[in-house]
Amino acid sequence: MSPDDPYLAYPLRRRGYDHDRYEWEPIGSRPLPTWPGDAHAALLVVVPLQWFRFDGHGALAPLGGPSKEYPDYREWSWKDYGMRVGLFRVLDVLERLGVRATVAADAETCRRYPRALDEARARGLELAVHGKSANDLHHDGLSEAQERALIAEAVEAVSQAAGEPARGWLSPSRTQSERTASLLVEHGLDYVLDWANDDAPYRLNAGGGQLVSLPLSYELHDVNAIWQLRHTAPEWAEQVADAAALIDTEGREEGGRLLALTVTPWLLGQPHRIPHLERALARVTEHERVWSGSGTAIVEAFCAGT
Amino acid sequence: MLCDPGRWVYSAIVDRPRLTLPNDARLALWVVSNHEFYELDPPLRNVRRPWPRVQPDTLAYGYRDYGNRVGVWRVMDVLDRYGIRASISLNVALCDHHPEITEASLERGWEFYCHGIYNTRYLFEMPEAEERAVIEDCIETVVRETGRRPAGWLSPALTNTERTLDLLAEYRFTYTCDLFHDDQPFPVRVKSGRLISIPYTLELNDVIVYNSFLYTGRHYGEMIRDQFDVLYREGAESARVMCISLHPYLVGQPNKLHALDQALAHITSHEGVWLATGEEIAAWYLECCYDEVARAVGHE
Repeated sequence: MSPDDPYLAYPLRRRGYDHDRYEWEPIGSRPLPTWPGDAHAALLVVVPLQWFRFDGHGALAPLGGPSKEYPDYREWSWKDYGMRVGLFRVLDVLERLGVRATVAADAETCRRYPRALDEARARGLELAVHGKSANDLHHDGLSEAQERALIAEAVEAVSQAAGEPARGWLSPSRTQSERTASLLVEHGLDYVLDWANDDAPYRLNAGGGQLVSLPLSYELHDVNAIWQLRHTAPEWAEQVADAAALIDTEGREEGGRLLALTVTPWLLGQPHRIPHLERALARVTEHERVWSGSGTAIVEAFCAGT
Repeated sequence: MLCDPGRWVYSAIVDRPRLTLPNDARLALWVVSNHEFYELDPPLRNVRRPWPRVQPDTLAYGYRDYGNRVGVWRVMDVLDRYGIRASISLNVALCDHHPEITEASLERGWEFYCHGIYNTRYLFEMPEAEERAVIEDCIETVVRETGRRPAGWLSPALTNTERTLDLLAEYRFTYTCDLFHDDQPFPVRVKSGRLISIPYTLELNDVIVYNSFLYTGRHYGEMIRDQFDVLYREGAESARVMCISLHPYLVGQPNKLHALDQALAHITSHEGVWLATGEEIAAWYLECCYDEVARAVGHE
């Protein structure tokens, strides 16, 4: 055994984390936000709009993208359904329940589906940036220049579609290289939706800048629960209701929490699933002290109170 | 490689001496909480890659981190409510990274047993000197944290070498959690000393239930209740051990916690359930059962 064999060396075995991206602040150890109206929980609903490459197979293939032999019309057109049909159904349900969606779009979607972006803007919804395309993951195999170019293009496309500078970011497949956070700060972003590690917002270390993490639930992310884990829509809805009940209780007893859901138009926008989306969100909003806010509104409330 | 593990004798559960638990309980309930730390960028050696997606996999890492930031505190609340002391299956580096968690576990009188250094460093294919170094590190860290030598072992990410069980006995561990072949503890054949297996669980292990079988939050609770009802009935004839294995990043999710809560309410509403740690079960078995069972089944 060599003393410097890296497999038995633990240079980052120390207090806190084995990285410097954020601090070790478990949920009971840090001040939690005070939401408007003293809400127990903030509800964030993110609606992702993604464009998948038709030929985007391989090791970095995104979840939900074409995976069968090329040309794979079946999987590609299945996703396209979300942009043509599902989105409108989803936005109607959210509007009916008074739930404020945040629409996260990638640059290719802005270019290829301007109608969808117009719809979001016409409904007064915040637009967040969802990378260049579903296939452009952020990872350590990218050079800094490559990653900067991806972010610049995406931020520009979404800001243009929104008519104002974009403030939120969701990476394709929720990936981040070591430098993603500081590049996002460099491009004027205020918050990210990539992490799945908490039930309340917290601050990220981003090269000296301020960046807030609004952690999206991975368990309740519909593509994970329904597509990957093969749960039915009624089972998904039941889990959302269970989560909302506990989060509401904890928020009342211990301080403001976040319930952050992902609603994907090609999946929950299907006619047989949409009633369960409506049922699930109704179970969330029946808690009187759940406040629905856009990503930016939630970040502002968080920053004002902590 | 061996064509047969050869580590235990065959023994039908219905042919064994009757086992009697303290206070004539029918069943020992053993709740394990896996207190783990997954590294973001671990060194790679074996064929298994900790993070099969892109590097670094911040989503998968963060998902595990949820257990330490949020989930484990919920699990502590629930177990406290039912007076249950967990045995923690500990990646010992967690003591260094997140001492608040190990301190809170210690305050509750929970048992610390060893689960490697990190869940992203594997034992398989390890040379003996390295495997010894890992085991010694685990023991030293637990002794440093608790003042007590650990009694139990679960290999990190369930990775073993052919010699692991022999080393455990040599290092005076009393039980292993790596075998899934019974509903009672059982002697394990080792080169020197004594070692028993305590029936750990894959079936009622939330990782397997949720990530392999892909069941829903609530179904896990139904499985726990059904498993308990059968073992409790059988325990009237001869004692049974029932393990519930938890990973706070999973069962501690808000959409899953109540499954555990309700299942434990069901179990603890019964008489004749011994709420025990692994160490206590091992001590009982070694003192009251081992010799008789070993003789009866032909264990040498």
